[in-house]
Amino acid sequence: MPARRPTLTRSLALLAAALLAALAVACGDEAETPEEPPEPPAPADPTTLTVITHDSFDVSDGLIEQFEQEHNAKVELIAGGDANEVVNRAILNAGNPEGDVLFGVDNLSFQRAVRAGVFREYESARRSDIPADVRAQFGDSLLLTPIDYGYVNLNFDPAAGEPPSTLEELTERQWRGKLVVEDPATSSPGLQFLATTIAYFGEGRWQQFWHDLHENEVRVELGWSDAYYTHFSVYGGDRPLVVSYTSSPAAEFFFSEEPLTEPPTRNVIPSPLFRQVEAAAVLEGSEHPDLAGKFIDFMLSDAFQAQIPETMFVYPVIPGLDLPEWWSWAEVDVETASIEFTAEDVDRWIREWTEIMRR
Amino acid sequence: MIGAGGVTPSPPTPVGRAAGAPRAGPWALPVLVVLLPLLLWPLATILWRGLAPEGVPDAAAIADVLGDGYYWDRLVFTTAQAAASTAVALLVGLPSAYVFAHIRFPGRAVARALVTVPFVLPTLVVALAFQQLAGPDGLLNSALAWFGLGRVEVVGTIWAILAAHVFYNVSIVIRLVAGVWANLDPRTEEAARLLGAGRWATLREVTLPALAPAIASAAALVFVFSFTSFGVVLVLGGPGLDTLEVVIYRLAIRLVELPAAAVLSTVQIATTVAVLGAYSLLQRRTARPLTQRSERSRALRDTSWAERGLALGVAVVLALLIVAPLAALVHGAFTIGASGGVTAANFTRAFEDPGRLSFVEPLNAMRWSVTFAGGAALIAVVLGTLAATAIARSRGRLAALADGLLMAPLAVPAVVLGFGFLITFNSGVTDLRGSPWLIVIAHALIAYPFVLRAALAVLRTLDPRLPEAARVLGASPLAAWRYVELPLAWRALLVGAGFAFVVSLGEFGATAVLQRREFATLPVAIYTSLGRPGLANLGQALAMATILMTVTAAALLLIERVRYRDIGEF
Repeated sequence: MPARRPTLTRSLALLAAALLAALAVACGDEAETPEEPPEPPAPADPTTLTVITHDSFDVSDGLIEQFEQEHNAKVELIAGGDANEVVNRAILNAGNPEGDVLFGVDNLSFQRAVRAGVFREYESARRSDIPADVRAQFGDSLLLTPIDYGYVNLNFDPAAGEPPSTLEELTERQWRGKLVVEDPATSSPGLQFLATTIAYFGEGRWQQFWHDLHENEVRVELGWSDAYYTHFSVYGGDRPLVVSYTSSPAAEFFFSEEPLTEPPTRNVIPSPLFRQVEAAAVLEGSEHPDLAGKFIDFMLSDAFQAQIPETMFVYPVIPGLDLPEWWSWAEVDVETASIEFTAEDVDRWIREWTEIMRR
Repeated sequence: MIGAGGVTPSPPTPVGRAAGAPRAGPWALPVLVVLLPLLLWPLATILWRGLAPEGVPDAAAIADVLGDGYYWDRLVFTTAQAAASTAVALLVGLPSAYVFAHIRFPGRAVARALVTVPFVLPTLVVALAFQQLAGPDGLLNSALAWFGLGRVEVVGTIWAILAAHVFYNVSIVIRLVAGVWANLDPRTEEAARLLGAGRWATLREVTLPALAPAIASAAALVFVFSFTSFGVVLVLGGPGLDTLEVVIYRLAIRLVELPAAAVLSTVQIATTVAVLGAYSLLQRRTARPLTQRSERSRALRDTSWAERGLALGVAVVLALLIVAPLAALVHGAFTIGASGGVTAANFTRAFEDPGRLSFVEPLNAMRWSVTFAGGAALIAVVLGTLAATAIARSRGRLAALADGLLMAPLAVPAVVLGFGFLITFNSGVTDLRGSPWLIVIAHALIAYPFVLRAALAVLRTLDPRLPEAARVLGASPLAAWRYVELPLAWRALLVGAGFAFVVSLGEFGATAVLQRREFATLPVAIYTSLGRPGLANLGQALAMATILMTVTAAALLLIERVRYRDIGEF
């Protein structure tokens, strides 16, 4: 027995060493990266500003660096899910926030957050440049600063012939089994599309529409990616209609592998559309509220606003900026549906919708 | 005798324990010390917040949920599909295990690594692969059309779910069972044959009972995995095919419905623990001591025609179920955007920084993925070994319950545990928000049950008189473990470590909640790409999935090379 001991020890050590080496490689590398030559114009250590965003947040590297240099700050980002999930995170950490700024709360989810007292007021100098009807989506509350907006509609595969022209048509035989939507309980675009149908049909009547849609074999997916990439016929699925963004055809154009003359998908706008407005807010309990405010100013700056279509595929709230040419595929002039609701209404919509789809 | 090629034949006495048998307590204590604060505390915190929003349990609300027939339907469906998935996985996995254990063929190690690769693949990517194969314009329907046959719709039916569950889980059966099967002492079977038993009788009366603990371990893991299945069921299933895990996710994510989510989570955890506890009880009754020998010590003999036929059949089934979807992915990674040709553009683009903050460099993501997996596997091996030793050494129903409870990390809905972590590790010295350690801990918690099950599968077959004999001969408890149990469990620990590593590599649910951009993993990068429309994004996601698959296969081949004497060979 004793003769065999070294073998066992060596083998164990080998396994441990291999696993530790993997750890060391990454950690060691991490330790090396900050060893950049010290920059003379930064006398004090930069302040770390933590920004919680939705998963789709993006910005060009150069702009963020500019902000960091200007304010001697280091910006850390937490991708916290969609609008609903970032609000959840804020509420679960109320009073003891994960960061300083929250971006991605929208006009369907903000009321829960406001009630939980997770935001503090901030009035940006550029606030007055935001159109009043956009600010009104948050009751013009200083707790929230609108940054961008977008619409969800139907995307259509042109290979399937002529698209439907009204929502009612979707319940007809011709479109049986042709539409895939996202679940409003779990998906932001799913909830926006539900809001569009509620605005169009009205309280008390939208339920019948969804009941008919259910009968007509609408398919429900938990998230946008599942619906779009696995069931939309453009990507090999069996359904030529998918609930997606009005900007998706423009994004298809932008992200095509070869130069295109037109996008491979089309927008179908069968009714006025619910407008989702995304806002930023300073979190209550933030250790750097002033810097957090500066970040919101930065998000409203012309430079940041103008790159919003290209990085996040939504519309900037500041009007009159020069936007890229391909953005015209994103249906800039859309009729906005008008609808008023409380947080309880949204919860009730989802509960009733779930009841209908369960049958 | 074990592993040393000894010749002590072991009489088939049922496993019983003499007085003064090795104690379980010292092994169980460290496990408790780790699990209490890291698993039970956050879980209890979030469940209590849901069950008792005002500080006292809301009995009416709880009764409401429990009285809703819809949820019971979901529970029944979830249990039934998990049982069916387990049965199919065993049906495919056991013959495959025989082939991997007894038939030497070129590329066996690579094939074994390949069948485990599905474990790391994001469900959405797998759904894409299935769609390419069995979707409306997929290969299957093209082939049927070519033969002049009608189209079949697989996606959206229970068959798609079963196929996907087998795709993901059959490697659990293959690895756990083949590991034991390859090292069964052939003389027991030979003796049975000599005594006049036929081929089937020998299989039924000698081989299968000897393999029972390994089969039970594998079945338990496949069951829990299919029971809590999330992504696959969603994308490939359809109306009426939601699992309980999906229902809980829908409720919890709205937060206002947290009470209902907490009730259902409790039901889900309790069901799993009960099923596994019962299993464990059954298993310890049937476990028999058995002699193991190194695979190499088996006399090499020619493969019979029947075996060749079996090997061919297994090869065809595994090629269709596992290799075909994997090939579809790789095919997509090299052809998307090439208009009919082949391109490496999807790979080069994945490495090009477009100057955006969202850019995750794939090599960096891979490095973090491997780091987390290494750390998680290390912790999982320690935790799993301690827990397996404790359970193997204790008796009674309490140990069976503990066995079931130790599998709980796989039964806890990911979204619930994620919220639990968020509200527990958020202040004072336990403020771990933003720490990469939180990811290592979460992964280790999900990974250790694999080590536990793999180790238990062999420790249960250990003749209890062996460690006792070692103690009588003067060995310290640690020495007895080291010279008796460890050598026996070594191979199983490697299998477990491999799974732990791979589970961590592919983990997305918990990682998505805990990650930061600086240490984003490859699955996170894949999902980020798939969050945007456009062929370029899809191609890039498939390219990264291909990289993830390659690294996984390489890591598995490496881990299996860690040998201990001559029994390291699996």
